[in-house]
Amino acid sequence: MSQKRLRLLFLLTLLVLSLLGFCLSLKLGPVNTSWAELFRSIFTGQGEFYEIILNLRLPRAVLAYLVGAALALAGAILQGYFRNPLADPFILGASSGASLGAVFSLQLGLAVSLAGLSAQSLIAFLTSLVLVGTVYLISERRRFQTAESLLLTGIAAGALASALTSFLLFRRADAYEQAVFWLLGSFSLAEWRQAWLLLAVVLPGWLVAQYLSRDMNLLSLGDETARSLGSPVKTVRRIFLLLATLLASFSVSVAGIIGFVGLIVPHAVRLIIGPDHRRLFIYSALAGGLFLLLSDLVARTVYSPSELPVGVVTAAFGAPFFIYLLNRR
Amino acid sequence: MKLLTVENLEAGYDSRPVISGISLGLEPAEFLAVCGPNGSGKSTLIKAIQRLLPVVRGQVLVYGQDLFRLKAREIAAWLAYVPQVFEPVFEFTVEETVAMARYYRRSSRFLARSSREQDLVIEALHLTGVYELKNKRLNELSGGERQRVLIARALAQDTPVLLLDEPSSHLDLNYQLQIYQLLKKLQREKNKAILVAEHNLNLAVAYCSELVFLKNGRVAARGRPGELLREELIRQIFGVEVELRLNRSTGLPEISLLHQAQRPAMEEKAKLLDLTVEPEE
Repeated sequence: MSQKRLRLLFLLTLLVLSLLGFCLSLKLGPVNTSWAELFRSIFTGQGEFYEIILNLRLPRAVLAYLVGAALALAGAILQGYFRNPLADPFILGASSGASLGAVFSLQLGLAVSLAGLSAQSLIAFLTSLVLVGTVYLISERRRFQTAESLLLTGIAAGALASALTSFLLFRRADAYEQAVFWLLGSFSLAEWRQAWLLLAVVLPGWLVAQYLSRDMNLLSLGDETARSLGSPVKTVRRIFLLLATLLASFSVSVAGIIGFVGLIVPHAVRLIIGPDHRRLFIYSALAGGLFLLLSDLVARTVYSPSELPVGVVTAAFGAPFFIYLLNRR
Repeated sequence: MKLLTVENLEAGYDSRPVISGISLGLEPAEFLAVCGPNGSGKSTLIKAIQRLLPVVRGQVLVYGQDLFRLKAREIAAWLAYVPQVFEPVFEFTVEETVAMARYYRRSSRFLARSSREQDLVIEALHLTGVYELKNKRLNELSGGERQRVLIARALAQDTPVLLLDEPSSHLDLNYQLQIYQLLKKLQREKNKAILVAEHNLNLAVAYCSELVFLKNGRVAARGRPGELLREELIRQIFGVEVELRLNRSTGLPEISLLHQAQRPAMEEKAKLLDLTVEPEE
């Protein structure tokens, strides 16, 4: 099969499965509907399940899809940025920063909200940005900043933030249950406003990444070669880092830490369609959306009426698949 | 006005310069080799000309125009760079790798690749003899094949100047000759101005029109290979005793290694450490 046909087939598969995933997400849940009832209420805008479908299941499915797309896109960007297929969206500490902020604000018991984000989400978002920003500034103080110094500083700062989070949890064990939401990820509090917010981040984020995708191809040859081939390497690197950080921070602040999506999705997509970032970014986003949509579907149905944290599902499916991929070649 | 003029170039990775006071010029169809011991600054010079290093002072001019005031994409229209062979991380194919030379040489990033763009890539693949490998992934190739792919990419960039960093390293005799014959052909047929950092003196002598020797980051000698290469010069620069013989077919000097020269530096070190032992009475 030619590369072109393979890609087309892959794209069709992603789209069909996504559509199927959305339909199942609308149908399945503690309140059961038949397919006929589902379609009747969608097309007529009436019926007893219409409210549930429109304001509970649909925003949740859309949010899961967008967070999956954001995480996979951020992962694809950072894997290219560090020239390392094992990088993930949280490698610079976005997740540790967010959970520190979330746990801290839970203990303060704040009750404000802005643009669909609760106090926890807001503070988590800010601490996440502050942590990654600090990591960047520390490593930029070195005259000859390398991707390695940034990576190592990120890992160290992440460990420090995790230690502080653990300390806060240890001091106030009663906050633990709420904190699990952050530490393992969940879409149980999904609302339309969050979905719109994420759409406003993911769509422009993808457009910028797509515009600079050739530069990411050049970066994979090494910074010096990229520059000699005409790419403004410093600027490009800054933009990509900012993009990945925003995508990861927004995702974590609405849904908590959902692992493995940002690591395995771009990696698996690269194995199927090749390393060209001009295609990798969009295919990763679509595949990431699908993966998280299905994971959330599993998370809220297998244990019904109670829910599994979605991070448990992504890791349970993702980890064995990843080990398989790694050992296949 | 020269195609490429390097004036009083100083460069390094931090406050200590690796090379300094380097001036040289390059005309179209000129083939210049920069030689010298390891650490003398050959690769640093090649990179400094393109301002790829954190600290670069001095001037590089293309037809009198200050290169350091240009954007990366404008520099890419003048200079093409062949780095040392590296281990690729992502598995791009040969053709994809060569086509990357055109990313910033096109008028718009939204237009599809024109047939002229495609022709340049195909021509570069043919010239370097890697056309048959075009659908292979870079990490499936041997060192020699990879080196030729990197040269193909530089050719596809379609610039008047080629800069190559040790193009013969990692290559066996056969490939070394192939690469230099290819460069010679580009010099003659395409009027390329070529600057190579080269540690293989016999190759440089046989193919280049001018040699520049670096020692400790400064120009130690320069001239036409046949006139410049003397046993005394090699001793001064590399600290080895050699014998120069004339190649019977080319009439050019060739080096045969004899032994290491007494290194004055070693003697001084011994003195500093006071290693001489007084004979006991």
